[in-house]
Amino acid sequence: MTCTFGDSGFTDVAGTPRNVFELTYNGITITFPAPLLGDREEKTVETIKRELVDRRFVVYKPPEWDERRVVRYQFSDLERKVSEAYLAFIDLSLGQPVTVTDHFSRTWTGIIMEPEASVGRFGPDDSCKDTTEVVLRWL
Amino acid sequence: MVVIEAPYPGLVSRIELPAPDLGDETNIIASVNLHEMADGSVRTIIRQPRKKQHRYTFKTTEAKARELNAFLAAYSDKIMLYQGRAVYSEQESIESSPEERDFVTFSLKFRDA
Repeated sequence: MTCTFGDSGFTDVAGTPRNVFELTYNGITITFPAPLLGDREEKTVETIKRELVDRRFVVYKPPEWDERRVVRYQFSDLERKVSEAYLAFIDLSLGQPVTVTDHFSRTWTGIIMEPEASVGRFGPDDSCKDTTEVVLRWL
Repeated sequence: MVVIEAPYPGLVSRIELPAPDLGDETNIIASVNLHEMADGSVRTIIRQPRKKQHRYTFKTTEAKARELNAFLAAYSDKIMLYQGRAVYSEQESIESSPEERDFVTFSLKFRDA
């Protein structure tokens, strides 16, 4: 089966697919190629679960608790200078909201959640290009 | 080719290794913990020592791996210079690859000093 770029199947994906992905913080923008190797979205809902003395199981979830959206993108074909710029970008923006313009041309705000993710070459690879994973919490 | 020298700053020993063709990774040492407040706002707690960690994977002959073992045994508790960058050695693992008996694969992990 051949996957069509942009055909993610998510119902809330709207916009025009494009070949780049950008992260912006404080006027500094990092541009990656579109994450063709990995584009995962995880949605979780925070709940409190308790088993009562009478063995009833209660789940508490007030309506104002939004679902959490975490997206994981795997970027490949990165030039070494982009990798180095990205490491500096993480250092600058750590814990701060960054503006994301994704490969569906959507602009949203997120926080980089796993800053310790490695950037580099992970095995024999003649392309001499780097790979990394960026995990963003959608705000 | 890459060069590791030790101990820093009074360099005494030097070892040369081939380029880390099997892996060349860097990450920053940092963490982000996100907390959601009752009013829906978000706060983050960060740990940011502004240092990097590096992991390199090499393939060399067994003799070179033994030389490296001896080098690390002598200087693993000292600051080293990896390609001019002051680092601490964090861990290393040496594996022989069954397909190529004369070669071994090993990974070195360094942390900025």
